Amino acid sequence: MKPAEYIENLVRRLDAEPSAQMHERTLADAVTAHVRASQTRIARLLPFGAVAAGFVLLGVLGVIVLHKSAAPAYAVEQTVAAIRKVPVVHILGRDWDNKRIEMWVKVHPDTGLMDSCHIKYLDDDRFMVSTPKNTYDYDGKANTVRIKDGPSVTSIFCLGDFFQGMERLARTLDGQITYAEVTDPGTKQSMLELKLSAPQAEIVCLIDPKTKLPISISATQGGRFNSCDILKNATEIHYSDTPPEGLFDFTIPAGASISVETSEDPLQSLPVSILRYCGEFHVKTVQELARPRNIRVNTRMYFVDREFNVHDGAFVGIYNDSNEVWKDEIAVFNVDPPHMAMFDAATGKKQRIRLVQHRPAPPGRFKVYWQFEEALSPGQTRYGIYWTSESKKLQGPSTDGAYPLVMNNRFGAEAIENFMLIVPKGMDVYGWSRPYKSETQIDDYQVYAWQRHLPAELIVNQVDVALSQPSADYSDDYIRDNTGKVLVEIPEVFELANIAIAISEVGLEDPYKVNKRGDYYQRVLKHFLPFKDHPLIAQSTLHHNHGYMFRDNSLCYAFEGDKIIATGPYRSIRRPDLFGQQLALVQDFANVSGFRQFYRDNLPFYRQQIELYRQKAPLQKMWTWLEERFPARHDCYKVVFSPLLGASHETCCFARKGFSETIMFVSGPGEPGGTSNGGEDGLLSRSVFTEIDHNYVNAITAQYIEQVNKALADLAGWGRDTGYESPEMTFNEYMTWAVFILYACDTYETQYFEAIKQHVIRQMIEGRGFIRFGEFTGELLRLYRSRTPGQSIPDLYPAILAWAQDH
Amino acid sequence: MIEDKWLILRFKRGSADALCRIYERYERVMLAVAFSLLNDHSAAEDVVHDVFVAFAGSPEKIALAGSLRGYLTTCTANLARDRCRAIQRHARRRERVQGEGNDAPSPLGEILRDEELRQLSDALLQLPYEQREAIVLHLKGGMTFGAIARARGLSINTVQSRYRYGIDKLRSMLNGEVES
Repeated sequence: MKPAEYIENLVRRLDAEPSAQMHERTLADAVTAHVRASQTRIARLLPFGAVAAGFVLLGVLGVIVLHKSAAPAYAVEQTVAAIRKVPVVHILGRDWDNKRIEMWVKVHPDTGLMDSCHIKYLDDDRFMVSTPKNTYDYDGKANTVRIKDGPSVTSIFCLGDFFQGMERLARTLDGQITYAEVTDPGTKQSMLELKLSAPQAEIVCLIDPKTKLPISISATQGGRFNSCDILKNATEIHYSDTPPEGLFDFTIPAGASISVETSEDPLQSLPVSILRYCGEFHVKTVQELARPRNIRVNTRMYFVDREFNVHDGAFVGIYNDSNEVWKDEIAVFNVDPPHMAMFDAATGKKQRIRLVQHRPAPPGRFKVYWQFEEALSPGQTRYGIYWTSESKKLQGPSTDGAYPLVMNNRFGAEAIENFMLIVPKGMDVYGWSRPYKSETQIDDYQVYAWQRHLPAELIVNQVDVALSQPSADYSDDYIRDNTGKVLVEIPEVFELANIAIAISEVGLEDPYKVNKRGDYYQRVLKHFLPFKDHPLIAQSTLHHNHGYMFRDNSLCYAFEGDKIIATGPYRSIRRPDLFGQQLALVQDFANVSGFRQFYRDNLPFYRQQIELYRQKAPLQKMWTWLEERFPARHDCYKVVFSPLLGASHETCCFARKGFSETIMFVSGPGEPGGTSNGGEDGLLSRSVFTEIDHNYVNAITAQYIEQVNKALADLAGWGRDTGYESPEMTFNEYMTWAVFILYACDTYETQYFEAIKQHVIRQMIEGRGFIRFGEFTGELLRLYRSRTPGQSIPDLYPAILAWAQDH
Repeated sequence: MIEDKWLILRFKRGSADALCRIYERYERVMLAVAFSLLNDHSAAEDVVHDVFVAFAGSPEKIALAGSLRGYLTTCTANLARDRCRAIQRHARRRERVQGEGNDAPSPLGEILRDEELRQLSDALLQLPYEQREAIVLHLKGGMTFGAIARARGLSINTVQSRYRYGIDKLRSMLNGEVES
């Protein structure tokens, strides 16, 4: 009779393919239900008494907040239409330095946007005039005038743009916008309060329900954004005041010294090779994906520097497909907001541009004209990147060290959109809401690319990522002491984490995650089971995949006396640090269970295990073998294991200061007593080898990602319930295990090799669901044995991928 | 998973994109659970559709005590249980039609990938519903016995017994079929 495990695996493989109709129907109905629910929720927030007065206003503004992916452009257009009737706005308030200001804004009659602006600093002899062509900043005390090209970055204030910016800010900060009826304490009149509430920001607008116009605006520090960059509080807003004659014209005062400023270059520290890479990525998208479908490509760029300032921009490629020479300028795209700079993608040189506010929806946008220094001949292509002139500091860090970054864009036509994220090498990028398509290292930077085919309807394309400081920071001593070494360790706090998992519900139930063979497990149960009701043990952080984030992060901690503290060199192994989050409970568990004494009592056993591991798993040999066959190089191997660790292996690699360390979390060598032979040792080697070689294989796979995606397009044909959801991850599992077979072929005697091979094939197919592993490894072995002198394993990729695609 | 928590947070704050991502992530497991319980592909699709649309329409009611995967699979199993009786009637009707010489391939035949899985699927259908549910929620839904017990208001021993009896019966049934 077949064992229960066989039946269990069979049930795990039972699968059903969703039909395309079901997929589309469910998604469409779910989104509709979701939007209706959101509308109901907003309606409930508005008191009944306010409905009559606020009805018209809601008609104007409601769509903005009803649903984030609804048509805000339409709503804002109507907002601006209402404000368009007001030629001049007169504001009294304070700026972000808390200085009193008086502001006059002239609204453009066609666009409803700011045409000109005059700002007077009431406590200083200073005023600023912003016109569509220039911004003049006059300091009366010094008698100086600073002149900038275009409208001032900080004087952009128009109500339509303000509301659009407010909605955008709410989305970025994970906040929400609500309405409520309030009574103005001054006039005792009923007002509508439009409030943005986010964890670190608040903006409150009071709106007169009769005129439908804002009468005051107040923002906290976190609520500062482009559209209210100068104004913190508007205590009075008047719409019928007449500005003094000539207020928006600027005449240079007699004797004033003049300075002309150009925008700062946010790309100064960014190598041109990165711009070229992004350009090539964009062009490849155009040529291979967009042109056959006759759709557009939009490539947005996000550059985060070491201080977590984000510069955002977009890529522009212009191809002259006409028979005429293009001179002067060409319209390239629309932007919002307009303070930006353009750079040549090939040289990094700053380009001249002209901005024109334009009428079509959505308002608050500007058309950008790229002014060529050199004409563009027929058939020529020119690439540029525009960046917003100002960077924004990412908010953070959160409790687990994260700086969240939101990359988004609103799109209304069928297109392919790329998001390129550029970060300094070593900065951690993790927790993405959508997997990235590629990751590449260029000089001292990592470039990540996300790609999405957008449908024809208006949607918000958004990717959320979390960034953090480098996960490891090696001291010079650590680098000197460990370069070239293989370390094998059972760290004390790591063992504590494994014991906690072993006596948890999952640890006791799951037949594989914890190694339950041997006397040590019995000793652990005898000592620690009385503490299984400790609050730490019931934490879900110990369960399933969370277990990795609990267990692996314990490596960042050590005992100092009896206290567990964070120590170097690792800041985090996997995000989030669920071990650190439970540190108080962990500490208490260690104290009440007498863990330290238990660990001390078992130290001879741990030392014996480490020695046994070194004997059975020839890590130095694997290291040499891999680096003779792959281009990657590492300076230190660290094996971290517990005698309790079962089938839950993991690997990671950190590189800092030119030192690269690869860490493997693997199961132990088993308890002594049994006879050792090549076959058993081979299987132990397998467990660590297939973790190590991820650090060599994955990078090569990334270079062949398109072929991998094609070859394994039908994922169901390659695996059943494997838990690996992409062709890349699935292929890496095939490859890492198959490379172990190659290693075994080179290392073990034929009789052991055959036994190991058959065991691994059976384990991959029956135990892990990689149903074609037998054929795959057979083909790779054939290619490996017949390779020509000088060929390495990466050289076999084209052939094995071609085979995978054809079979 | 932390990504799930993030998605739920965004979904509750109105993100349709988060909703779509949740669906894309769990569509397959929900369908597998429904199909394993009902053995009828179109009925399983209807269950997944109804569960997810209800989920999308009531974000304020969602309070996750455990994992999102566990929550969605439990909801799927709940609705599948309600539909089970109707499906059994439907299955009996289909058997009669097929018995009368209709050679059209059954939807089942299009979905199951090999003979062994087909036998397993048939065998699952012969188990008492409670045993089938315990097996499917544990093995396909990834739920622990404790989580199943909490979701069903049972003791963990009861769930484990149902699971063990179900697996033993499957072993017996599948070995019997192989031998014949």
